[in-house]
Amino acid sequence: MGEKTRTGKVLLTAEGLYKEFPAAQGKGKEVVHAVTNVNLRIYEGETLALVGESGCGKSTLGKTLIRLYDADGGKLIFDDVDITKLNEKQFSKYRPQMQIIFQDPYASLNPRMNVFEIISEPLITYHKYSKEELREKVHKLMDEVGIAREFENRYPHQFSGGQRQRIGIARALALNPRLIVCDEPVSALDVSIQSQVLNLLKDLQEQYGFTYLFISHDLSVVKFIADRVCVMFLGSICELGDTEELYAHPLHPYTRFLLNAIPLADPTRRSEKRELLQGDIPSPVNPPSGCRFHTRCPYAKEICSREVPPCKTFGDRIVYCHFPLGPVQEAEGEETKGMPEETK
Amino acid sequence: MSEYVLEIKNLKTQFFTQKGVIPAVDDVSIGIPERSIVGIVGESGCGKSMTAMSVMGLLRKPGKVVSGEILLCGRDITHLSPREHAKVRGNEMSMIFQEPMTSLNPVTIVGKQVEETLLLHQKISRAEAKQRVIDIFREVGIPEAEKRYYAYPHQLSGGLRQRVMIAMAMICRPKLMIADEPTTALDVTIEAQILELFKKLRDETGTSIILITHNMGVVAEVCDYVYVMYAGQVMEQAETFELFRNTAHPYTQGLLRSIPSLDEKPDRLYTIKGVVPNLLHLPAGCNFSTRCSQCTARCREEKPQMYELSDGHKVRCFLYEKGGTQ
Amino acid sequence: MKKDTFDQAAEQNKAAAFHVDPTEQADHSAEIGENETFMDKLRQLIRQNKLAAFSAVLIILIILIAVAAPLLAPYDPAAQSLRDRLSAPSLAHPMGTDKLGRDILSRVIYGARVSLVIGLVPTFISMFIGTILGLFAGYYGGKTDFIIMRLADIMLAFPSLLLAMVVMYTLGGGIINIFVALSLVNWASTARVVRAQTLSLKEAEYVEAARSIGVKKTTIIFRHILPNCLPSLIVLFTLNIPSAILSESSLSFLGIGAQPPSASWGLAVTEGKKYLFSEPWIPLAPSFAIMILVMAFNFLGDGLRDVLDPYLKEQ
Repeated sequence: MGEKTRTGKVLLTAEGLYKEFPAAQGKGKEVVHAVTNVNLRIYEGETLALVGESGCGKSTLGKTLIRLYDADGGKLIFDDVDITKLNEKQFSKYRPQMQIIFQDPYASLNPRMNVFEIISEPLITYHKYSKEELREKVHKLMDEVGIAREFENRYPHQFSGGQRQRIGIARALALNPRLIVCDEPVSALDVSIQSQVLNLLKDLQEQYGFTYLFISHDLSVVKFIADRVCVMFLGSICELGDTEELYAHPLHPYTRFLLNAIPLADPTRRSEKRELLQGDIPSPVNPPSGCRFHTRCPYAKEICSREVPPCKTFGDRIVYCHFPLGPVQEAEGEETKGMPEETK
Repeated sequence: MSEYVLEIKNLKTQFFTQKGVIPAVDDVSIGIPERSIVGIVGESGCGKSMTAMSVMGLLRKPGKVVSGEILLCGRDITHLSPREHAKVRGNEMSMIFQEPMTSLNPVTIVGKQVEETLLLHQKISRAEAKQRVIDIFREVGIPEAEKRYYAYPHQLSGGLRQRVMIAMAMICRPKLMIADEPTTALDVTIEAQILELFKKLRDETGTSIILITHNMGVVAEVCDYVYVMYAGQVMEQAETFELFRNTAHPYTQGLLRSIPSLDEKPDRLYTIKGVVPNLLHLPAGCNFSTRCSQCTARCREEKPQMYELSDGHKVRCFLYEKGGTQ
Repeated sequence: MKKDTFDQAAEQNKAAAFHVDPTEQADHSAEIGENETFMDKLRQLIRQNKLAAFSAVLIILIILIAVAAPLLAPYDPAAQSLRDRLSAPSLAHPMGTDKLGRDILSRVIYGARVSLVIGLVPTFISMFIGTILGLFAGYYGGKTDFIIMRLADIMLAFPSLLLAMVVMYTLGGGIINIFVALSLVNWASTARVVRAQTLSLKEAEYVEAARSIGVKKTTIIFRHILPNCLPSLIVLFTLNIPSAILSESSLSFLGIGAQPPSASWGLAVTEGKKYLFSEPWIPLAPSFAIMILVMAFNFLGDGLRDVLDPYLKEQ
């Protein structure tokens, strides 16, 4: 485990978090189980990545963690304070400390506000600055993210995707937050722009010690930026662990398939008969019983469809699986192997 | 040259806008051999989609093919009337898009939609057509094909919808299918399935596929031959293994280096500095000169040609003017 | 039939194709700021829709005429001259005179004032009310939404002219009461449109971004949502004006709107209707005036809608 997590203090803890939405085309009271029983710790200064396929609830989880959505169950502890039940006024003390960068730089900036107005909005919401002070602060932020100061009067549509994302980052930085949720911040960008923004995020973290919750479906991007990775499937955590270890030895079958599915930019490693997951992602309205992955899992046994897998810990790793792949990449789930103590 | 299913010769497509002429596709020559998957890779605005639209005859005002030839199985289809183009489309060549939902009619069952395409081009009975649709559903890996025939688009997942689109594109057994970012909206595990399907279709039906993508990984995975486009021009073209082994053009090199790798964890990623130039104000010299790390004075003034590096490997860069190595 | 569906599919293909295209171009146009601004769109309107542009010019002209009425009108619109009553159009009276010998041209010129004020003021008031209520109903949802929208439903369930008549009968005639009646009748449709747009804008990512910063609800409504409703509101405004003008004309025609000796066009039509066959210029001159103004606003509104507001178009 990275040194940040070993030495760092816990910044945000989620305990048994649930989030449900009314199903859009549902009949009656059907709900989408977007996040189900999530336990998670985010350490100060680390980058924790949430990965998973679309509809796995990673975005919802990210937004629920910073209370953009209200949780339907469970507890959120930020900086040793239970923030789950705080009302709007009490929570306004914590709001500036957790910010978010959105996926779509075209949609996340108000088309009718210019750069100065966009970046200054968080500042004027919490502070009373004089005109000069405000201008100076905004300029500093623009320098920080690499937007030329003379563009302050321009509107979002006058920028390219990468530049807009930089404006979005500046807005998130304005309040000097501790936790920044990066919700797929580079997936709408071109490859050559993507690397620029990733470098920027990394530089900012080194300079200011931000904690990132980095949500992405792109495992190669996650590999570059994250200290720890949390793999989600259909609203639940599958596996959580140090990036290097998790990529080298996935314990949950789903993680392994996910890693296998990435097309590598190297034709010599073209997999002739790749292990591919069959079938589609089940509907979050009627998630499968037991382990939610069991309908697609080739290793599933009878118990998997019956019981929700327990949380198993292997050192720093956490796996929710009845038959985790052996720590040294051994064959399919050996029940006999002594499992370390279970937590919670 | 008749071994090509599709041959594009010196195609120029321009958009005549109020602000000036946009050279969306500038002197692009592409050959698609039989039974192959050819990748066209590039960032947004590089002209890869516009090349496809020109081929399909789907260009919209103010876009226009200005010069060049498009030969489908040796037949010039550059200047077909819309009606004639429609006859070719769906029959001899077809196209699928990134978001299948926009190309499917939301109020008609998908089976009927695929069937209509078939009935339009071939004179067969409805019953026979239905059977063909169910067969092709099976072929493209749609489970419970008979049941899915009656499904509406919104009842299918993204991956299945894309398979329906592929079925629709393949039902008349076209010589050529153009897939424009077919997996960009899909998840990696589904993407992998669709890419496998492409390989299978190539091997079993002999249809050639043009795969338009921005993802170098997808290219490496399935393509036989690759064209790298930048700002309306082909910058480099080569057989896939050759392209990744002897990457020649500084742009291709930069593109490959800026992708985060699964194998190593660098402190910083390599970046290509700057942004894609505005097509209305292209540099006087090489289109990539504004961002190139090896740019010389000559690059800023003169436009490079395509230079042959080795058999089938061509590069638009002065570094390779004399062929061979740098 | 089959042909149709394929053409449809081809159309959709093209639509999809176009879907790809703007993003491709947006990116470079973005860098030097070529994307369309409001002014660009107006320019586009003038280029593409000559009818709308012509209508705009016409409306401006009518406004100028109304403002400069005392300078332009050859006679005092109220001046009676029994000697000249019911005279046909001539050099002295280009549109003839009415039964009291008043110059019809002068009355039509002055009538523009009444019609424009009636068109603009109640429309503005009703849209102001409708916008505020629509914004709150849409953003807050729940009970607020329920109460406001049920109220709007009730308003919309009545034929608007009938409702206006009821108000006018209760309050009596006169310009101020026309304002009240028309404002009361028309807010509901605006509230509906604004609410629907608020509902979709509320989900916009930039609104979520504002919430993530902790911006206050009212600030979000007026700073983030309202400005993005403006294009629709402008269109709606131009399209509501003619209906207000027509309502006033109808009310005046029925004798419960503007009262004599006002120069209202509607009133002039009423007073002239019995001369339709003997001295047709008396009712026709104000009728044409109404028609021209209403059509000009409608054409302009349609044109604006095409360039500004694809959203409203689909409704």
